[in-house]
Amino acid sequence: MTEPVLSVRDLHVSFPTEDGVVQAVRGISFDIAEHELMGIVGESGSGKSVAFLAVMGLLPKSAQISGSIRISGVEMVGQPEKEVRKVRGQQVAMIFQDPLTALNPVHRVGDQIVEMIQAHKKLTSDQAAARAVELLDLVGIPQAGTRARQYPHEFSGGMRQRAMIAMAIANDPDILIADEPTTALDTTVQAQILEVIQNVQHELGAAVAFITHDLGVVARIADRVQVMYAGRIAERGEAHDIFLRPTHPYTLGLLRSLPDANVARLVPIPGAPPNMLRPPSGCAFRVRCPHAEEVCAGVLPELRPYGAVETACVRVEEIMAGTPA
Amino acid sequence: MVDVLTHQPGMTPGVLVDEKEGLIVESASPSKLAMRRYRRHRAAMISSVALLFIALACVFASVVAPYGENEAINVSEDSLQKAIHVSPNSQFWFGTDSIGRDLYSRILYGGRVSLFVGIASAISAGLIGTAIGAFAGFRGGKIDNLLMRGTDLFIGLPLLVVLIVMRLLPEKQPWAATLLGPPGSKRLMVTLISLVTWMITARLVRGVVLSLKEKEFVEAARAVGASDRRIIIRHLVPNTIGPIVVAMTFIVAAAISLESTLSFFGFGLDPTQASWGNLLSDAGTNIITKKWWLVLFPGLVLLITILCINFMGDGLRDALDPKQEQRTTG
Amino acid sequence: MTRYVLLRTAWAIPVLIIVTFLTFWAVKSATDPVASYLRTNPRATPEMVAEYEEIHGLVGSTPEQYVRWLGNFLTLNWGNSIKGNTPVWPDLKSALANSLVLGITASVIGITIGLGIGILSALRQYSKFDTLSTGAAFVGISIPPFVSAVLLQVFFAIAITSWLNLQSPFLPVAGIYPPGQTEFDLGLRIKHMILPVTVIAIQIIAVYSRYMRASLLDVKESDYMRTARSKGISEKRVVVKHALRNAFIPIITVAAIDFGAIVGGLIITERIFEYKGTGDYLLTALGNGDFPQVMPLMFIIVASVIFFNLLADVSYAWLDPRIRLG
Repeated sequence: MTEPVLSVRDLHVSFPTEDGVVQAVRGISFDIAEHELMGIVGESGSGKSVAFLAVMGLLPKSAQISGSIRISGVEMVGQPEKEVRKVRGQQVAMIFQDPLTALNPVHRVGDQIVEMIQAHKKLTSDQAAARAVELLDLVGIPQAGTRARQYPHEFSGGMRQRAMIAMAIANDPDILIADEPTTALDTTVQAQILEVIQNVQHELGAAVAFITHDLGVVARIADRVQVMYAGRIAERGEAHDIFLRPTHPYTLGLLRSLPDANVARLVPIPGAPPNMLRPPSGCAFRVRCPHAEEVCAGVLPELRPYGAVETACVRVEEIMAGTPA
Repeated sequence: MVDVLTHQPGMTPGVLVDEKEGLIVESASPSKLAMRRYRRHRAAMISSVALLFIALACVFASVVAPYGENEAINVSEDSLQKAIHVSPNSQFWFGTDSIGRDLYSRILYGGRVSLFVGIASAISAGLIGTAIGAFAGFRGGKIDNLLMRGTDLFIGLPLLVVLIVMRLLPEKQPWAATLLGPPGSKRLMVTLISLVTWMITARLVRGVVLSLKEKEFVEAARAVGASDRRIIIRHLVPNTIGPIVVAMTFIVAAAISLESTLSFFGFGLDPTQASWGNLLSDAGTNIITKKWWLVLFPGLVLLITILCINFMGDGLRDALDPKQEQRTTG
Repeated sequence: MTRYVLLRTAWAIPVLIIVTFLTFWAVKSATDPVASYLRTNPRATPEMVAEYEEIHGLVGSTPEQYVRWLGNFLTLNWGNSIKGNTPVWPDLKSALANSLVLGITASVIGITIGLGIGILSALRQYSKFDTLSTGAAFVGISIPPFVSAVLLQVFFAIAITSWLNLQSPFLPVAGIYPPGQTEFDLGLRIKHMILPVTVIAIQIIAVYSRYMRASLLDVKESDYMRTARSKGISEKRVVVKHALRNAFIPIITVAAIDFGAIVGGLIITERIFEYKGTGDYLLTALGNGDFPQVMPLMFIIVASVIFFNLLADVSYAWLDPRIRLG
């Protein structure tokens, strides 16, 4: 068994703000294996984006990070910026949510890809420019040569996202982090971008961490799924196990609130995400959980195996026993 | 079973949290949040206090000032000789001028005039600018284009030149005096200054109205059947108040500066009215005389007042600007 | 882009005509040339007055007068001043030259320093440097230029001179040269320019440091900054190629407009330091109601402003591809 491409142990991230310290990530551990596409699911405030910004080392200097992050075996936490920069853009690359604001409006698209290439490889401008055109072609942008000389605002939303993907894969990274890449796009375009990402993953053999709040998207493409809530992991397992036999009340709630032709009424999860300045004691979800008891407030639930999945609910056995399948 | 309180998501800054349960107990209104943000701006807070102090002293000049506005003081009780050009001492804190008038008292009285001109100009410019800007923004299209081209012309024209030329008009042309105000009067000053500063508020308001016009809550109001006027008054204007207040604060500072500059050169208020600019005019054009106090004190008071107003404007901008929301980290 | 430029230029000409016409009307009303003529020539007969009016085209309706004046102006037929009856052009020419020297020197120094401070402030937000420079900038913006000018005069002419027991003022406070000097002397010229340049530069530094700081802070928050960092390029490259490149765009357009104002905008400093530039010229001429002296300068000022506004628009379009190609 080869070493995982990304290995995170006991990651904690907090930020000082005007109103106090926000605990965005409160102790998570996970691995992503080579070639694997892991879906990271959660609401706003679950810490899913912050965790991966920490992996990239893109959090503001005021952020407090503790734990271990190993990319292709290399430890990133506590490293000097110079060393981190070697890995960033080379072994790990990120695709961001809104390609319109994520691309520099005054630089040509081709030049932005060239910048990515030349940051890590010694190629001449011409060689790098040619490679950039190849990459744009790879992600399905027609007339790549002309397009490379254009500016971001001249591209459509879908094309911009393809360009971002082209930029991210420029140096053949071991793992690609996609932070809500389809959220800002129309549904028809979403499907196209998903296809591009899958193709790219296939061609390069990279692992992908696909961050989203959209379960439908995850169901289509993920190998494994990790559900996050309030800075911790609620449940984790193979995609079909999570979807067919969810065990954590939060996952159950998420699935129940999905539109489904067979269901008469949508059942939303009551309440709202917790305040990360002072998260509730014990299980953060207990405030909205229909199965919450005294015991849930007492201890911070850890991920443990239950059936085919791992789940972080202290009462999972009783809940599963009581509910119909 | 734990009771769950629902609240508006996304209002995390400024909410009070129950420590044990991690629940939202109370959420703060926008104005309370604004006050809190203003209080955090140290320079603005200090300036507010200082300015209040200065303003009160000037408004109550007749009570606070030891001497009269135009009172030439005798050297001693039994002498008729005037206390000319006395340097600051325990009797005359800021010294006296060429006629023997107490500078400290004149500064206090002068403050009334300068502050009045500043505030009146800001209010006037604010009203005109808001009306025109809201109209342009709301109507859009050709009218908006025309108005904006018009204001564009004024940007860049050296302000002082425009003011001086306009200032001379009422002197030579009676119709201008009736329309704008008698030469050397406060009314003329306020009119002139607001005529060159209204564009600031107009542009601002137009910008806000334009961006709000397209927002969903306007569409919603229309869908319910609200009239144009109602939409403007109840929905658009409350959102513009913040930027307008900030702009008006800065206009007050600019107006005081402009008035004092014009008065200094003799193109401002009538010299018989003590204003801070006039006081400096008495002293400044002849520096060979070594009467430094006649220059230093009015100059310092001007500087400190304008500085305080600018700091307050900055504080208000921090407090009222909606862009200050923290980015959610998701 | 060419279309954009041509369109804006085409717009500029009618604007120039309209604004200069309004200026003509305003200045004429404000200076009342006939009355001024009578003031300086109190014994003029009605025939002389009529002749004066005829020569200076002061007959007919205002638009007619304007057209006639414009014709004379464009053919460099600027006539003589009312007071002293000297040709307008030579005095105005030297005044313009002096103002440009002063304005450009102060601008170059001021903008360079101001931008530098602004950039450092933004990069080190909330540091001691930032707090101090912000405070200093506020003072620079708040102090009316005539106050700083007069205070500097008092300090350098009186205070330092007496402290150091000097015979003549430490730094000259009046004129371009000491009285009596007619030849060009670079050293003296510079010495006399130190204080006026300082007064103007203070304002420029204050304004530009705030502008640059705000613009750079605005840009620093942008998403593309994060993308740039995610590529693993050096922080220096991130700041220069991404942040500064975008932050400079609004600054350049503002600078262009400011430049346009130099021609007529140094009034305060020039008057206080008795520096014979256009501001001083204008104040004196307006005070005397000397229409033939005022109007050509006003035209130049308006034309300069309109031209530089146009330049600002064009440069903005050129620098920001969204506008250039959008």
